[in-house]
Amino acid sequence: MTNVLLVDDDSGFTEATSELIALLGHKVTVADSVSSAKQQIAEQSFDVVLLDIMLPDGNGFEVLNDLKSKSNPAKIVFITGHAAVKSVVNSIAGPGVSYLLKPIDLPALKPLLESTNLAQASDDRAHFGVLIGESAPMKSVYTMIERVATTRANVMVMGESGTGKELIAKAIHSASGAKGDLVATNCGALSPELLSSELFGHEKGAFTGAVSRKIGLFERANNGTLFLDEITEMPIDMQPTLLRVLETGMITRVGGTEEIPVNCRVVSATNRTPEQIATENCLREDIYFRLAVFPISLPPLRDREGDIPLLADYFLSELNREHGSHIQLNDALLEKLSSYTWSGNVREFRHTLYRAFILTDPQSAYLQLPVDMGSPFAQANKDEPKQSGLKAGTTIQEVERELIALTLEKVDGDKPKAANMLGISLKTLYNRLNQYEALDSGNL
Amino acid sequence: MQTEQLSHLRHGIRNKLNTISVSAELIKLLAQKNPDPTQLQKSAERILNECRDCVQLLEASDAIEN
Repeated sequence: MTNVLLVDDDSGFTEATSELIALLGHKVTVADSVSSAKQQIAEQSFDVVLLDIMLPDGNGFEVLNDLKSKSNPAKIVFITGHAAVKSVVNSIAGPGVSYLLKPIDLPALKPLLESTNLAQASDDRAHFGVLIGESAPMKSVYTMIERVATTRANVMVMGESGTGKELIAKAIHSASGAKGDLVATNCGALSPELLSSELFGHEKGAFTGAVSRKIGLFERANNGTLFLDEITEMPIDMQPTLLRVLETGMITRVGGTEEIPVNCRVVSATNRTPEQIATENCLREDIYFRLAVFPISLPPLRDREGDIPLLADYFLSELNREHGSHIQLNDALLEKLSSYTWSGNVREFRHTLYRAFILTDPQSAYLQLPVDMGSPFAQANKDEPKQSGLKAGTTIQEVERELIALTLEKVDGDKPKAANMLGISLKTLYNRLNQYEALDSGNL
Repeated sequence: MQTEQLSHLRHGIRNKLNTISVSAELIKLLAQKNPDPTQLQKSAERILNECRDCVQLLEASDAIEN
């Protein structure tokens, strides 16, 4: 139920509109003047305020300040007679204001009252305030977060790029009820020379340029959570300094002598798989065991396709709320979004929705998806579907077969084009394909 | 002066049409539910009143233009 304030001095209109709003299942309060509206706003919180511009004792803009100063600001909808008034209202009231054009009808009024519920519902759907999804892999992630939040264990989040690893850190931090802050940094972005100073801070004069004392990330995250993104990008020779802090819970600022106790949970993240971590020599084994006391694997979007409609609805609600629009999704759009391979994961998905939102005509009821949905990175991955590599021990026939298969895939099965690319005649290509078919069916 | 008066009358007509539109939507919605005849009557009555007011406003604007 939405709590609506209707501000208009036309009694016939307020009578009919308040009946209509009540019939739609919302609560409505009527004010017939600026002073009466101000009084109502002071007394209670409204979700939506429908405002006439011309009022007997002033104009609708006069109540804007009262509305904006509330802790939970209402959605403001101006009732205007002319579409041209929109731009004037926009310049005075700023963005985030909606309009109802006279004569008002139900299709225009209803979404304005319901979208606040939708936005609220979307936020309610976010687990730990940040995570969206009800698929089995995500539910298992939620359980893990709940369990680990009650402990002080360090967590390592593993997942492909764009899966939302930092959100897991936020979720753990919020679920743990930690008193301190969540402090985040990207290890790949820290220069090796400044890494110690960033993590542990430095004393004044510790090195050239250290003009004052600096508090490091560990100290800033005291009693809270330190999020170390791309931990496997930290130079391996720098890792022992981190290990020492993890083992002793004490830091020493660069150039300092005093040991300072720090008490924070470290959530680290990497887009490498456990196998890669083990074989690529990017993380010392001892530090792995300190950081990955509790490892959490975040599923890629392709393993949680069922969450796509929820994510789409959530991101679109966010955009609508931000821009005061009411663009919707329909089944066909959801099907198109669900059938696409999001190799860039949720980040790519969100980016595409935002791009589509900008492209969509604001007057349009539904989101207009771009013809070419993916990002250049996803396209590049799509163009190279298989990793082809020569390995010793492969026969020439096997290499030839793989090359033909890859070429055909690249040209979408266009055999004359493939033959041309391979530098063989079409007849030879057909001969080879027939040969492979016979081989596979055991006739050769 | 004349333009101002006409603009004022047009504004009044638009407001009346607005009430008519909302009242008609109310009747439509009531009809889908379990309608209370008095509610329906009240809305229909409101539409008729607003229509009468509209006619008066249009006559007033005709008088100004002539």
